[in-house]
Amino acid sequence: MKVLTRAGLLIGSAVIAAGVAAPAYAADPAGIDEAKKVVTAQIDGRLAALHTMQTVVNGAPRLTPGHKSTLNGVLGGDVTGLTALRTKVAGETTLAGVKADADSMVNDYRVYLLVEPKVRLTIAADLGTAVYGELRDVQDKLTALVAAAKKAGKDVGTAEADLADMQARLQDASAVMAGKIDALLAIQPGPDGQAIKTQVDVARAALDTARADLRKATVDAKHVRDILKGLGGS
Amino acid sequence: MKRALAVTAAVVALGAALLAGCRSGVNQANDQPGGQPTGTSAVTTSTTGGTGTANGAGTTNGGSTTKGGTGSVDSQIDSIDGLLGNLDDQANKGNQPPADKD
Repeated sequence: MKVLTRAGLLIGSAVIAAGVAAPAYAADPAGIDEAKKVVTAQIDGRLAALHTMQTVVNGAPRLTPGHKSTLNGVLGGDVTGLTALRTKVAGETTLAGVKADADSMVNDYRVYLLVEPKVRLTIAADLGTAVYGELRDVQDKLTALVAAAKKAGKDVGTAEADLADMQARLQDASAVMAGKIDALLAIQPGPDGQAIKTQVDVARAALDTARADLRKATVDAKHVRDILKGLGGS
Repeated sequence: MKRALAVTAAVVALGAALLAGCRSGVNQANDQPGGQPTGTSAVTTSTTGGTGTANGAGTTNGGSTTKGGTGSVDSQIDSIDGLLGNLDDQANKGNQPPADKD
């Protein structure tokens, strides 16, 4: 009797299990719908980031027209491509198809690893170019004022040394950035994420050095300005 | 008759003298340096060489309302500080993305 009872319970459990599991497999065989949902969300995240970057690019007043055009070309192309890919994902009927779309979403675009740094670092570099131009102008003015003060017999202290350091910093900033943004903008997306990162890091490191140089040149300029103010009228 | 002529001559002479005196005064008023009336001269000086112009106070080429003549340098340095702030912001946003963002 106990054996029959146990058998009955086992059969009942199997029936219940089959009854629960069967509808799930019928609705999403092999979990395709769930995979498509995840990939679609990832595409949407990239599209949102691209739209944000388009707004940033078009609102960047110091971005050169050439850089703006290049970046808008990259962003527009990626929006078009990822939007088409999103449609493709919706029509996939196999997990392999969804997996291939997910690979394409990453390797063919590299939105986070490459496109965003392209946008941000190019905008930053053009801001650096603007700062460089302003500092060169300030340097010329301060040089003339220091020369006039010196000619008038005033003690200009370390002003001339500060101006020399300012000159060196500006030259270094200009030299370190030469060609770096062109190289950054030429990097193409691909499956080798580490190689892309290494190339982007070259531009990032150069920009960090240039930023430090421009900051030091600004400190020099302020120092010279303060010296001149301390002298009274020049 | 002679007396009438003498009075007329005296009146004419007096008028001529007064007229000459008036002319002298007008010329004196106009003979300022540069040949300009005094009021106009001040305006002209202010426009071409005075405060608020390319060569005037507040610039590095001219006046001295700012100690050391650093007026425009001050505003430029303020502008540079602002640009450097924006540069830092963009550079920081361009830093390496999180590991899961490829």
